[in-house]
Amino acid sequence: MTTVENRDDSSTESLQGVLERIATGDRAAEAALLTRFQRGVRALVVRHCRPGDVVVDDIAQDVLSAVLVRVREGGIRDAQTFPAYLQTMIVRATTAEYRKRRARGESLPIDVADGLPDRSDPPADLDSQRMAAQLRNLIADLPVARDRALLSRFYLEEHSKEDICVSMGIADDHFHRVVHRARVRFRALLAQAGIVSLAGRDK
Amino acid sequence: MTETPTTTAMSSWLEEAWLGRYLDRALSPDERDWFEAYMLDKVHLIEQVEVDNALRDAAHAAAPLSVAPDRPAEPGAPPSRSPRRHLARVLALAASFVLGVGLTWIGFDRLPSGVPASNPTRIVYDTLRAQASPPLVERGDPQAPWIIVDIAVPSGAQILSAQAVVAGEPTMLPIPAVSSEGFATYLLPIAWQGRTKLRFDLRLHGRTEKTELELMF
Repeated sequence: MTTVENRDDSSTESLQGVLERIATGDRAAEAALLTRFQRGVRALVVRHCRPGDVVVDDIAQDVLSAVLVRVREGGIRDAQTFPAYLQTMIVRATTAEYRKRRARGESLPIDVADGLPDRSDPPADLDSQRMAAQLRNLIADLPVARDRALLSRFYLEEHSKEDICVSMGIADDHFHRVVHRARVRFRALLAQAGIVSLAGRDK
Repeated sequence: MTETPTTTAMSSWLEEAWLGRYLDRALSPDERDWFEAYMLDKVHLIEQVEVDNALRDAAHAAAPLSVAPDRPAEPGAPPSRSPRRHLARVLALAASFVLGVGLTWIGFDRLPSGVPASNPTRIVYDTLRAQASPPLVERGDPQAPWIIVDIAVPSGAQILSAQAVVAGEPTMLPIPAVSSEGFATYLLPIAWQGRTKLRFDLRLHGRTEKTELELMF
């Protein structure tokens, strides 16, 4: 890596200050920390969970709560290491959740839903259905069947990029181009459909 | 890629390069951990991750995405295992499993006797997910006394009960295991075709309310 810009120095210093203030009991600083990281934490929890898992918000909240307690106690003082600590907490929490399910002999997210309180969320369900519909449109619009298969394998069957490229006989750059275009197009379709809540948070 | 401290911002083009590899799942575990820590508070990167997450969730909610190509593949494209064929193999296994369960359950005198054909007709219902669509019928051996019924179940749904109403007479069905592909599979007598309703009570995303669905086949 040769090109590094220090355009984020101010936020680094700010984060350092936020951590220090939290350790002194500053509740406003706690709010600032949560505002800064909660969206990223949720996105990564989603990333590490199975698709559509209902436990995402619980895990994200647990991670943020645990980290906040740790900062309050003065256990995390270095802003340089804070993001890595937070990321580790996310990975551990999601791993622990699925390990727990395996130990209980559960294999599907729906099993966990049994033990959770009722969390009916019609708007989120509606968004999910609309997103699925938009994805069908996107897939249907792809002119090349091979690209449709590529997207299906990558997002539905979750094959690795390498496996897909080898088995379908396509180059890395073609793979990236197809997937990248799909993301761009999908985002546009969601915007057209008025679905601005990509993560259920940013309506 | 060489790593920098997570609190030092990279140039935009380098961020894009990292993000591209991250979204393509092409980073090593160490690289992935580092980049995730790096982008945690960078909204412009998180937004793109959210789009990718939404795409993945939608793919599962809309599955099966591509039952059959409606346009021919590009000339010269190497033959590849289609997702549908893969799915069919999984479902064949699932059907075998259900048959094993079913033979203990199907102790009714109205069921046809005989060994199931190796290639019975399969009907795939995608009605319970996203948009309504007609069932997909994959013709099999017309002599087969059985029919495989695959029902795509919404992501996060739990089947609470299943019932077949054959010529007006209700019969409880065993609750099937939902496959990793999101399908519930039944092996049913061919004689039931055209005079049977299948009813399911589902629980979606932990909701206590039940949803009754009715399928004709």
